[in-house]
Amino acid sequence: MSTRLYPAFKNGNSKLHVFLPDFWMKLVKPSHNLLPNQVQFVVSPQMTKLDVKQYLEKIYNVPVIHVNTFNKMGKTKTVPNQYITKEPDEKIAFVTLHKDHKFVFPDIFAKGDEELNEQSKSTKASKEQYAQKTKLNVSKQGVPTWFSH
Amino acid sequence: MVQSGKFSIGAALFVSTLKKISLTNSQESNYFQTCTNTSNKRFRFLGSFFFWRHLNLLSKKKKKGKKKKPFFRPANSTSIHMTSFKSSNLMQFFDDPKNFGASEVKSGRSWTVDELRIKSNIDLQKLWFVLLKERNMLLTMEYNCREACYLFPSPERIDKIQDSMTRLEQVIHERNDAYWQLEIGEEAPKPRAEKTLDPTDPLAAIREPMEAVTQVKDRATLKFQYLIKEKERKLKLKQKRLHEREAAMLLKYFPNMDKEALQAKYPDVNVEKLKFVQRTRGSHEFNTA
Repeated sequence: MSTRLYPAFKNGNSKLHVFLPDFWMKLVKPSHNLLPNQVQFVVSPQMTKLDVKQYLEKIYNVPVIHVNTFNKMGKTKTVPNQYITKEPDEKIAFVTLHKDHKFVFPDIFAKGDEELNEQSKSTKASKEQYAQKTKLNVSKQGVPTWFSH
Repeated sequence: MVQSGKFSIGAALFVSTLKKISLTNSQESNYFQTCTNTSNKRFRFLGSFFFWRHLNLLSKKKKKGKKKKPFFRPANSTSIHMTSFKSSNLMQFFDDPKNFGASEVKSGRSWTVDELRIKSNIDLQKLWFVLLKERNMLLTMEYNCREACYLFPSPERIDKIQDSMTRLEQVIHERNDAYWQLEIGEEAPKPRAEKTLDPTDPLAAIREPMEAVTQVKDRATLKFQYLIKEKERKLKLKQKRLHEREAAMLLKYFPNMDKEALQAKYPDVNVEKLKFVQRTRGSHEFNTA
C-alpha cells in the first residue's frame, strides 16, 4: 500500500501492515455514462483492486462492492519534423457502491462563470471608457488628448 | 481486517472493529518491527474457513424436496453493514464548496520538523491521514481543473502538503533508526530505493519511460522507439566524427607525434587509416613533395 521498500513476502509470514499509506487517488468526472452508484477514479499505478477497495473502506469509510481497473496509455503527440512528447500513463478504477447509494459529480466551477462574467463586464466598461476618451480626437487622429487646438 | 492480499492498511483509527483494542506501547512500536515480524501461517486461512461455512457445504443433511442455493456473499461483505455511507464521504475528495471557482484560496504554512518531533507516534499517524486526504483533494481538484481547461487556484498548496509529508516521514525514519541502533546495532534500512541516473548516458532520462513501453507494440510506440534509436545513432556518429576531426587536426600540425598515444586517446578512430586522408596532410616540406 505504499511506494516504500518492504521485505519480500514468504509463505507463513504475517501480513505486512502499512501504517502510513502513500498512494493517491483522484476522483474524476466520468468519461462516459455510468450507473448512479458507480464512481471513476484515477489511482496511482502500483495500486491493485484490493488496494483500492481497502483504501476507500478504511480511510474514507466508503463501502465498496466491486472494483475494476485498467491501464490507460498516455497519448503521444508529434510536432512535425521536430520532436515527440508523451503524456504520462494512468491507471483508471471504476468503483461500484451498493445499489442504494448514489453519487453525483458536483459542479466545481459554479462560481467561476460568474467571476468570468464580472471580468468581462469590467473589460467592457474599460473599453467604453477608452472609446469615450478617444472619441474626442476623431477629427485630429494621432494627436494626444491634452492638445486642445 | 480484510483477509485477502499481502498488504492491509493499519489504520486502526478508522476501523470500528479495532476500537476495542487499546493501543499499548508494544503496539505502538509495531511499525518498527514490521521487518522482523513472523507469525503462524494458520491465521491466514481462518478467513477462508469461515467463508466455506457460509456456503453451507459442510452440513451433511440434505433435503430432497427443496434445493437451497448456496448463499454466496463476498468474504468481507460485513463492511457494508458496518459503515454507514453518506455522499459526504466521497465529497471529501473535493474542496469546500465555498472555494468552487475561486481565483485564490488562502492557506497556512506547512509543518516544520521541530513541530513534528514533539508529537507521539499515534498523533503523527493521525496527522498523516489528514495530510493524505488533503493531498488527494488537491490532486483531484487540479486534475479536474486541467481537464476542463480552468486555472487551478493557488497550486502552492500541493507543495506545502508534500513538504510536510516528507518531513513527517523523515521524523518517523529518525525514530526507526534510533530503535534499530539500540536493539540491533545497525542503521535502519532506507524506506525508499534511491534512483540514480547513469551520468555517462546522455539519454538516461528518456530511456526509463521508453523501457516501460517496450512490451506494447502500438503503431505510435513503434514509431517512438524507431525515432529514439535514430536519435541515439546520430549522437554516436556525431561524437565519432568529432573525434576523427580532432585526431586529424593533431596529425596535421604534429605529424611526428606518437601514433599509439593518439590511438589510446581516441579508441573509436582508426588512426592507421587516418594517416592517408587528405586533410591530415599539412603544408610541411616532407608532405608537399
